[in-house]
Amino acid sequence: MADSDIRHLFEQLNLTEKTAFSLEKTKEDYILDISVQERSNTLAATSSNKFIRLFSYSNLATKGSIEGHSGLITGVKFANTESDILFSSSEDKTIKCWDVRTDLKKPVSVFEGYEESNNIFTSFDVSCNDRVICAGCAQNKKSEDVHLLFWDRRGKELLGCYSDSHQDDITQVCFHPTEPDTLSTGSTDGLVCVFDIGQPTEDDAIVLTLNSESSVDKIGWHNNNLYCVTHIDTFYLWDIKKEEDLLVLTDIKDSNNLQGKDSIEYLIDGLVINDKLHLVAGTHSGSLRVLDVSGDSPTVIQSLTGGHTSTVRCCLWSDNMLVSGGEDSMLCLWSHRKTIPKQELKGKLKVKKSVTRKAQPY
Amino acid sequence: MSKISRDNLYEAIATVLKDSTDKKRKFTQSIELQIALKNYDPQKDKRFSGTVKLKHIPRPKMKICILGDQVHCDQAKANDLPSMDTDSLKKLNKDKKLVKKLAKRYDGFLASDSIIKTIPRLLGPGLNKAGKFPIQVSHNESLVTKCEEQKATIKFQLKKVLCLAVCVGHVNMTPDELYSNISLSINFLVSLLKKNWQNVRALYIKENLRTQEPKRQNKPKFNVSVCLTEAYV
Repeated sequence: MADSDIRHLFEQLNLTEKTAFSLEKTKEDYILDISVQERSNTLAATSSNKFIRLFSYSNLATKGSIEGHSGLITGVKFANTESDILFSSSEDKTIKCWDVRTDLKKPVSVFEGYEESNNIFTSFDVSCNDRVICAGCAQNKKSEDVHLLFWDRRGKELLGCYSDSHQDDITQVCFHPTEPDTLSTGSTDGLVCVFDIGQPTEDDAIVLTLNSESSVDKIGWHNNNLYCVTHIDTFYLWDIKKEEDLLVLTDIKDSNNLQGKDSIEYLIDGLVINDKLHLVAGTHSGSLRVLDVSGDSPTVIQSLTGGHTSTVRCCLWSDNMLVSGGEDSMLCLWSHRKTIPKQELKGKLKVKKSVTRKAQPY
Repeated sequence: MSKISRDNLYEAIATVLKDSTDKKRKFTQSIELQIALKNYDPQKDKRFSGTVKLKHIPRPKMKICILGDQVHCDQAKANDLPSMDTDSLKKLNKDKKLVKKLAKRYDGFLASDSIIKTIPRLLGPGLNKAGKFPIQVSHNESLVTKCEEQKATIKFQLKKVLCLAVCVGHVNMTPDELYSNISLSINFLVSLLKKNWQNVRALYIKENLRTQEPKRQNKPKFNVSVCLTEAYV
């Protein structure tokens, strides 16, 4: 899609739906991770309060809730090849697999680590063919080892682990979108590693180690390019096949085109929209800005405001819509459809209920 | 809580320096900035972790080794900097013990951009595990400057306790140099926090009596600690 088309696509995005994650005022819910399954029109979002909510992707109506973890949920991901399978990782030392169509109370499978490994799962991913689950752990305080564990998704057994490639908490695990054996990991030690997990040992598997010189917050793939967002808001893009640096942005907040009304306070994530990589940034008052990083200097393509009132933590693009989750407990859907009428926005925190579930207790 | 006043900081620096001259020691004590946070939940707030590049080198004794191509190895020798070329790296034969020894010998590494991508094949993951994976340097950059920059870069990471300490200098630096490093660190760290100064409970500068960098973040022994912030909130 030409640049002008992308710009046009964005200019038409506006706040279509928004919903509060929960109505409880006891502890603020931060929405830390989201995943969408287009085929079943379902969005899963995690709360910092240990549960996962399911929503209808097209209108954010609530579909259900999973309360199956006893520790902080660190990741949630729908399976790639099956419509109703959802995986979740947690600091309670388990990774659980749920069939969201049939049972939200009992997981289909539970994956656990070795006795020797720390098992505080800080991140995970499932390979593109849904065969392998990989999870990264927090650093083991005593031995200082950091483990990366692998499971066979069907057989549920542990396939093995790597423990030499990182020196601190593994914050991101990300499989290649189409190559089932290609895996990337990121850590607070600043390193981003790319592995070919088809190799017999860790030494043989480690293909590339890239240094973000800081602490890795998010990584992601765009074809054979890998991007990285750090905790100090720097951005890197690498071509993994050619082993080249494509982009290094270290002073984004000071960029010429990001001042005044276009200013940003932190980076959120990379986002691939119509096969082009964008960078999403935000302000602590809740504005989202989609940036074009293909030119000499990052510029704002579109600012999405009026949705969030606090720091935005996650976002994703699917089916020509953008969904974002934040520390204000809100999920916002941005699309070309018409905006919510102003009266509804002024009301108190509202949770959209699915029309067909009126009878069920909340 | 308001920002730290210029006079306040100079006064604090003077106090710490005076105390260090009063009690002479055999080694050069480092000076640390300690930041105590509030209204921050390490479970759900964005991680407070990363690196910051200071203007003046806080740990001058830091040893950097250059893993270089011909050009960089020549430059290294010309500037009296330790270096290793690809042949010497190949001689290690990916032996885990030898790579570990190499990692222990130096505090950090630089690697030519033509070499850095081959490090996993040449050395295996040994440098990764030691937390000393090299930083890239190209022919367009000055090797000496890059080395100095790496020595001036400090790491910070908040784990479960709401307190963080970073080395910002040593007692043989001038007050102006310390002022520069400390104010840069404070401004940078505060800018990363969601509520900026509202997330800062207290700031201290302290002498650190340890001779070596502690391996884990256990409590360092502190002698003089000067509080930079007015009051606890």
